[in-house]
Amino acid sequence: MDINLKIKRGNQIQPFYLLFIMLGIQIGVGVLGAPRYIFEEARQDAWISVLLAYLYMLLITWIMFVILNRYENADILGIQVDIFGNGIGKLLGTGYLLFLFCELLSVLLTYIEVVQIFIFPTIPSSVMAILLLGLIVYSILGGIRIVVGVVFLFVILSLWVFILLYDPITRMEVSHFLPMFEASIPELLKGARTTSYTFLGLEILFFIYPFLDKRERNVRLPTFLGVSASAFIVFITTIISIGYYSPNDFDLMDWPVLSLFKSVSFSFLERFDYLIIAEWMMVTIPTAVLLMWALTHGAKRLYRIPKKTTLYVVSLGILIICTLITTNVQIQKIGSFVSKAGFWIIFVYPIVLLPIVLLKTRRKPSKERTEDSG
Amino acid sequence: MVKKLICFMLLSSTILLTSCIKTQSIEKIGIINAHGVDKGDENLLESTLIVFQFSAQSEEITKVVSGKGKTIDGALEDANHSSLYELAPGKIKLMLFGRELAEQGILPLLDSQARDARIPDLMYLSVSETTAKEVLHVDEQQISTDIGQFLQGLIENHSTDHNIPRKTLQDFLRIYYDVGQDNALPIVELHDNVPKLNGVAVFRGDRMVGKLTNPEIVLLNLMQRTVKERLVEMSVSLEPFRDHLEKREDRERKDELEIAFIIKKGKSKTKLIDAENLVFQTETKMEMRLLEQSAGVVFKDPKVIKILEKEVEKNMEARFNKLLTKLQSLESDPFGYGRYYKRSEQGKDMTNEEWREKYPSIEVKFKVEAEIFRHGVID
Repeated sequence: MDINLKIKRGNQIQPFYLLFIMLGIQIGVGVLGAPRYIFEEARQDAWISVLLAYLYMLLITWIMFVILNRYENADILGIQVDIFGNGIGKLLGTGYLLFLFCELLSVLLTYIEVVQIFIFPTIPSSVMAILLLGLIVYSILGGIRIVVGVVFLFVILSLWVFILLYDPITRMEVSHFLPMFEASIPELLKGARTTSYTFLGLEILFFIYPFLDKRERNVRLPTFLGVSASAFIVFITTIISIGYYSPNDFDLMDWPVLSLFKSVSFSFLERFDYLIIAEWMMVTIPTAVLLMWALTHGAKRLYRIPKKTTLYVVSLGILIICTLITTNVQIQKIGSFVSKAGFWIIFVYPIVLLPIVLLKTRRKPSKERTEDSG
Repeated sequence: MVKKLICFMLLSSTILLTSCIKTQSIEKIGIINAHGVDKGDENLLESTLIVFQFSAQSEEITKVVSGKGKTIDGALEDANHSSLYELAPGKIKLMLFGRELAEQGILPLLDSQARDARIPDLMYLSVSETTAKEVLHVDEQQISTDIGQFLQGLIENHSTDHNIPRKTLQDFLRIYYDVGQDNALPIVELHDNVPKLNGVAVFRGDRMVGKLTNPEIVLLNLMQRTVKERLVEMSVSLEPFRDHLEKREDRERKDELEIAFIIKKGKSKTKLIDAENLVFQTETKMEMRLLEQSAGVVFKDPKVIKILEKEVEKNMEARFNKLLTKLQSLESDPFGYGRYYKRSEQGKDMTNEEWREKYPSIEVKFKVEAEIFRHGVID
């Protein structure tokens, strides 16, 4: 297995799209419930937790770039093989892919559950899963450029929903934020940790990095902008939720952000939340498509499994699991598993990886790495 | 070829799969517009529903259905049996509780409303002076529209004028769960067979404990938000104005001066001045326009206006104090003084029970600043 990848010019992506890729993968179903989980830990200071999480996320993104820049054009799977050898490296890579699978599963399950609760209580999960997977499979078949195109379009087409939050803003109660700075540091950190489910998706950088067109262009800026934008959305929704819901009622809400939209009503459209849930598919699809792409690409890198085989096998697997798992408790369990595992894999693992990569790459003569560039 | 086949299959599935969802055509569902709940016999709940049905056969689009059950949803299900079509709760605009039920507590009834994602958060809550059934069964000839829309319009229009507080499901739940404030919902009663908003029901927790009359609501509103263009009547002593009366023939002089004015803009600021002894201070500023006075006071001299302002201030302060005493005896805090206490260092961990104990002993210094800056076209 090659550590570095050679990507054809035709398959390269402009770094500018990283902004949308980060936003698309991070803002998904997670944001619907995030404020509640942060609030459970940090109470009225939950917004500080989001800021802390944001700063930490910037640090992790920077570390990821440091790791990636040590190599010519590698992704996480190649780096792991380079550092830990073929056996352990591939094992870790498989673990990474399994995690991506769980993440994808959790995203689809949650969205299907939301649709069933809010709009169509009678629709079978399998039907929803087929519809969503149909879209995902169709995008993946088009290749990386189609995937990025879908992400770009859907992110642009779905961001406007947050404008509607002006309505709950007018109903906010300022006293919910008082007294400020009450939460202790551990509570704030715990709150920041609960954001991991929402901010999952940062790992896509580890996969998509080799595909970027890096000639004379700044790759970091769009990434940091994308991360900042998604952190801003979580920050705003958290602030609004704290103001809108009573503190004693808030931690009972399953999807506080979705319920915020319930108060939006226009004379031509009584229940705007129905539209929002349909629109939320556009928020969910970029996440799912990017995860699926990383899965198929990763399986090919590790085991030379043809992309289509992975695509169909994974889709079938997800379809079966979606049909079997229907209760809210099970879905929440998967979600909290993904959240916990994601915290370690995405937000802690790079820090562990960094010193090892620095040590390992220092031993190599630098010319070996620059040899095939140009 | 394969690609085309896949495309075709995907496209056709998007069309065919739509039949997996239950069809709901608008002619075949009954859209609930207003929902009244009363206490029925044998501990059952009795639901009265105003339902829209857009069927081609009948002229009338609204229909009243009712049902009984142990829970709200049970009562709805029972009502479903007497309705030709399935009832859809997605557009409930108004929920009306019978007084007896409101006095027992309405939170159990709101659980299903908050839990069910199909029920809008923006529906208004209100209390009927008698039973919800009686109000909703009103003859539609009298009000020339259906009762659900009539009541909703009544609440909506009057609350834009700030006559009554408008409370949606979400507002009610928020205030219920917030520490240090109680709810107040508008009361509807039948007056010559026409529904009329008359007063406000104040709650302790989720139980209705008392009623405020319309003049008292102005005070409540002045506390909670900026009040604009609201008429207030009051009678003040005529004594200070003796020297400034218009010369009128053969007129019996009364001791009271009846005045009516419009609060052009009024709002209050409350703060906690002594957290130990629970002393609050509420400053109310009112800009007013004089509309009417009964005794012929002449306003040529600016001093007279000053005197009148003083009298109005005194009167308003007395009213505030009276209202507070009344609310304290009801143990209900719709003003939300508890919120101000909770912001302080001493009160930050306060629970609702603790506030209930403290509330009857709080002291509030009301200060009203009235400014009359118009008195019509005559002095």
